[in-house]
Amino acid sequence: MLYRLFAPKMFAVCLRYSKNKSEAEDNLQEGFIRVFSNIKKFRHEGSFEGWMKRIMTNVSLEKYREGLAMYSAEDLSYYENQYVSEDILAGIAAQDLLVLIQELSPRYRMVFNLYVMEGLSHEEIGKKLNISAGTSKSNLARARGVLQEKVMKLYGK
Amino acid sequence: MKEEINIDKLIRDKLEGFAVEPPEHLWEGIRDRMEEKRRKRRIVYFSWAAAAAVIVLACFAGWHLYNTTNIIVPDLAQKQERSEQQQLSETGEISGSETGNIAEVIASKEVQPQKNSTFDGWSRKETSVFENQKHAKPITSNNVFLKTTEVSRISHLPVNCIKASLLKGLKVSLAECRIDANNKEKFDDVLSDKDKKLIAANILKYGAKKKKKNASWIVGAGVSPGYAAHTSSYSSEYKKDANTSMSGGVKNLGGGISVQYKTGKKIRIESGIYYAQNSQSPQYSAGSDAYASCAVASPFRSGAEEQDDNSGVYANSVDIQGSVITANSNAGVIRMTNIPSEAEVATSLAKDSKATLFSSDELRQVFGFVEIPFCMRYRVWEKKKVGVDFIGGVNAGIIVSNNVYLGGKTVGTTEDISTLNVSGTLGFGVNYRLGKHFLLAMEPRFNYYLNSINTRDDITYKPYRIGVFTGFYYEF
Repeated sequence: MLYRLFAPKMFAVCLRYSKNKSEAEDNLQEGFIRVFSNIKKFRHEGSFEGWMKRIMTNVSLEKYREGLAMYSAEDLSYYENQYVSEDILAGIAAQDLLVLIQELSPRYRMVFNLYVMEGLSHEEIGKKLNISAGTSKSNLARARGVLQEKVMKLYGK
Repeated sequence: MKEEINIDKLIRDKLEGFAVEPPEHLWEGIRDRMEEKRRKRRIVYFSWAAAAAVIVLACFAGWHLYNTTNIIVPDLAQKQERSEQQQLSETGEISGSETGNIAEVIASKEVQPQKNSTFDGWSRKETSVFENQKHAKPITSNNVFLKTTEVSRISHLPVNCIKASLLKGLKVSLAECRIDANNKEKFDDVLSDKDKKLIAANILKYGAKKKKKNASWIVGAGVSPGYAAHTSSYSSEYKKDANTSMSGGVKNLGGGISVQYKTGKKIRIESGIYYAQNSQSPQYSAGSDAYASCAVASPFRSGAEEQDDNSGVYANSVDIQGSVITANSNAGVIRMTNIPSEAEVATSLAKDSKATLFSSDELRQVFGFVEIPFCMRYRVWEKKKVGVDFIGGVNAGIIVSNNVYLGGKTVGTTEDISTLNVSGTLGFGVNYRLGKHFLLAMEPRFNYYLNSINTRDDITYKPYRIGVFTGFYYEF
């Protein structure tokens, strides 16, 4: 049935947005409850999987907004201007990459996911996270920087 | 730049179709929460059905009460007459000639409230007094007291019935809840303790979040004591033969059920069913044509004790056709079929002049409405336990009773009254929260009929009333 079919993929989506497995599990559960509750409202515009993915990202974003007060910003200027080669990146398993993304501080993680995976523009991201498009851009740059630094540290040379 | 884009693409490709199998207990959690939702939905349906049933019940009760009212009056009047005659003959101390004493004795006997009192409580009491005593001074204070207490007691009856059946409905749905919770225990054994804790935590969180959003229905019942009056205008032809001096209003009592549904953050739509009476009696001025023209013939002026105030005297010019007397009045032409025996009709010998009806009693035209409101409520102020709504809307007003009373007795009906009418309502609803689901309501409302309830072209009669709806609401 529906859950068995789509849960694994949706779980991966939730994992990307969350800081650990436990948070991802909560989001997945909440997400599927919303899916089942609103299944009649699905307007058949676009794919069903896409609709579910949007629900999962929305749940994750809500969880993020709730937890905003709790996180302090890291000083990440150290991570800027680092480049990683494509080969190294290619060799990393998806699961390991996922862990690195989870380790990002929440705001950077949100921006990174929304831009790179969901393909939203900085304006759209700004609206969702209640920040300016400029902030979104700089956050993305920093997120990339952090990821690259970590990849280099762990898998480089 | 290009490298960044490539990196983005690499990462995306890696993670796009990525899948991770979630732990088993997640599905159980989802299934349990969906069950809970379905249970909650069932309760809502049941409560809604209970509310609808309550409305139907109140409707029926109202109808029934009203129908029995009209039947009982003449019967009881006859019975009272007979029993009073018996009493008179039995008790030796009362003789037929002592008019004042008899009236007082009988009135004092009647002070105890009787069991089968009708909605219009005065009929029974006063007929006994006046049928037997032609020229007795009308005893006003005792009877007035009886009227108001009787009326308020009866009108509370449907309200209490409503509250009782609503509570019964709630108890049933709560019992249903408990049964389902017992079945749940079977599943709990399969899960580990950690999983159980996780599920419990999730359910609590979910429940706490959802409670805030779902308060969307309110059902309530109450009574509206108020003041009823009217605006009117007439053609001069009609006015000539009518005693239509601007009447003051009378106090009245109504009540009903209200159902509200939340459609927006501050907006609710309200409907329900109400019973209300609009009644009035003319205040007589000695200067009206009808009164003055027959001054000479008036028996009350010719010797019997004079009335100190005009409020107890009714005089109007009438048309007599067979046994039916018609008179022009504020709300329309009154068709009298039952004339109280102490009323007098005087005809002038002059040609083309109408007869005049005199009575020592007050004339009252009473219209009973069943109103179905369609209103909107907008929350203008809210603080802690108190909320204030602005209410506005229209009502469909159906006339269910149309009676004219002279003194306490039904004498006839008002003609040409339209059954279906439209009125507008404006008011404020002040709600005080008594508990999680209960609210106390005090809602002053002004209700004005937008169409003339008399269908004749030469009469415009629009009753209005100002009342304070007082009652309880149940929120769920």
